Amino acid sequence: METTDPQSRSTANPAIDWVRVQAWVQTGILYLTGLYLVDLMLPGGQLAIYVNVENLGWLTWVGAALLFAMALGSTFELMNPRPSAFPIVIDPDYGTAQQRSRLLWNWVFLGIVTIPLVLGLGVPARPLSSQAITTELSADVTSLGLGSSSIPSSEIAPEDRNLLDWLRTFAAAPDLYEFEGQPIEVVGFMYRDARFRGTERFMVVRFTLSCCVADARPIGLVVDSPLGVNFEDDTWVRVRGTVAVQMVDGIETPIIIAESLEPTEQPEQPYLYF
Amino acid sequence: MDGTLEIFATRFLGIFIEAVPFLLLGTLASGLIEVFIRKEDIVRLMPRNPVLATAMGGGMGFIFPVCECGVVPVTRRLFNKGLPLSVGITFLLSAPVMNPVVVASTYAAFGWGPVLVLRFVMTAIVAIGVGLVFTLQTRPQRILRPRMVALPISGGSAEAAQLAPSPQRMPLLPGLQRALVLARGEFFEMGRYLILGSLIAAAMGTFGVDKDIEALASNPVNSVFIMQLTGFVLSVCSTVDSFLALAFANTFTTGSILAFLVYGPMVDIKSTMMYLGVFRRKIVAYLIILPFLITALISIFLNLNVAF
Repeated sequence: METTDPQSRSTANPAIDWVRVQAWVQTGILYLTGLYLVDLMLPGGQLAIYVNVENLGWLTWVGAALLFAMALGSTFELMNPRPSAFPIVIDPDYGTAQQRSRLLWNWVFLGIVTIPLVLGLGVPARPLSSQAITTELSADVTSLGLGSSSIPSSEIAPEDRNLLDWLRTFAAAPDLYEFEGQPIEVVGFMYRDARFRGTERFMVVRFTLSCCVADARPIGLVVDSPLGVNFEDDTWVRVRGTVAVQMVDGIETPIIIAESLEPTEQPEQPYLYF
Repeated sequence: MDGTLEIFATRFLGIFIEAVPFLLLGTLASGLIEVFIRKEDIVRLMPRNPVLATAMGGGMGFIFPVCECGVVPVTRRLFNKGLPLSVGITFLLSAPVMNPVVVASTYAAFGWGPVLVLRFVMTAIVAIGVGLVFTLQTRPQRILRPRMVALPISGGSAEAAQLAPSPQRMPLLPGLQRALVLARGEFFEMGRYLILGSLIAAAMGTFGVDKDIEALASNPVNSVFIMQLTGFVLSVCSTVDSFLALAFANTFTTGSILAFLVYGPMVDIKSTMMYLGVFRRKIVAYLIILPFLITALISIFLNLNVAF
């Protein structure tokens, strides 16, 4: 591209047509991004780490389909250029320093658009964990603003309630003491901050979201474990026990008195949906 | 810290994966319009009454779903076809938000609620308000840069400029292929803003914000200005800005989130560049300042008087 004299401009046939190369690279990025999305959605894929797959998972299919459509459209265009039907405007800056710097910038921009692929394929996919909790997690169920679901959580059978259902039930209850002694079983990951170090307490935590991890918020219940706490933070555990009301951070708070504590697989959907 | 990169990647990819279908839909719609819709038809259908026409300009986005990058060239072409000035200005400011793709993405992010409704109501108020100011000036020559009046149209990207379609209507299949190629160019143009914006939002989520920013974020007045400025700088496409807003919504006031969602699509760095290519400088200043003030006023009012 350095050796273009003004004469060859009209024939527009330099050694390498970099604009065309960049168009091919763009097309390649579209195919790869589409394949990445498909891979996330295949059985065993990791889409649930990123978005609400229950409500919005289908959107990713739309995305992949459009990426492939665009990639195919531009593949055909690049393989069968039809200059008569589609007049290509000759670049007036052709061969100038401006055009060269624009080409260079275009490579930088192309690099930016590969960032999702680099982070998606290069970094191990992990759901948000206790390290993603930047401020101390409140144990106060009424302060969380948990919203409501279509079915009132108190109408869900206690043995079917997940962590979010339990917290909603507690938050809506006029009197917490009515739950004292009730059996409870929840799944979540272990979370301990400075408040719990060296005690028999920890929190069992799940992230909740409605759209994608951009709106993810952690929620949790304090667990009192007289049997000791033998697991690392972020271990997924199934906690069985009974509800008790105790003072945590100076507030009457429903907590779990653990009767059994066992490690468990990370659920297929690591987040609970609002 | 160990594991931080994984969390950052998860937060970033969450926004990107959720946003990318909407960005694709938006760019595809804009490609299809470029290829298949004749702008003359729209101008013909406009009512003669300037006030009525201006109000209609606010809803024109639903016929022309373009995001802020596509709207400037389309407006310029509409001006050339004889669209009244005030209608064009209203269209210019409202079309990036007033379109089906943005309705869908805002709904996906925020669900049915005040943010969804108020985003559209506020956009209509601001766009029609500014448009009505321009009914006072009926001669486009006064506000358009002289050499721009007759220049050929180009799309939002350099790619689109190169591949400007021929004026006659295209047959279906080659037209579709052309639309896809135009969309590709715009996708890459807009994709980089989305990705840079998502990187910033993901970093904020991963590392938290310090006390000073937190204090600003919960202040009903300052938070609005900050989010308007953020919208201006990030220049993220209106079809996907909801997902970034969502990342800010945990920290910032609801009024400021609305300000981001209303002002960002109207004026940002990239649209200012495009305005400068079309309008006289003084007009560009109006287009930046008037929406800024009206949006700020409404958002601060909401912050002070409405409990969301």
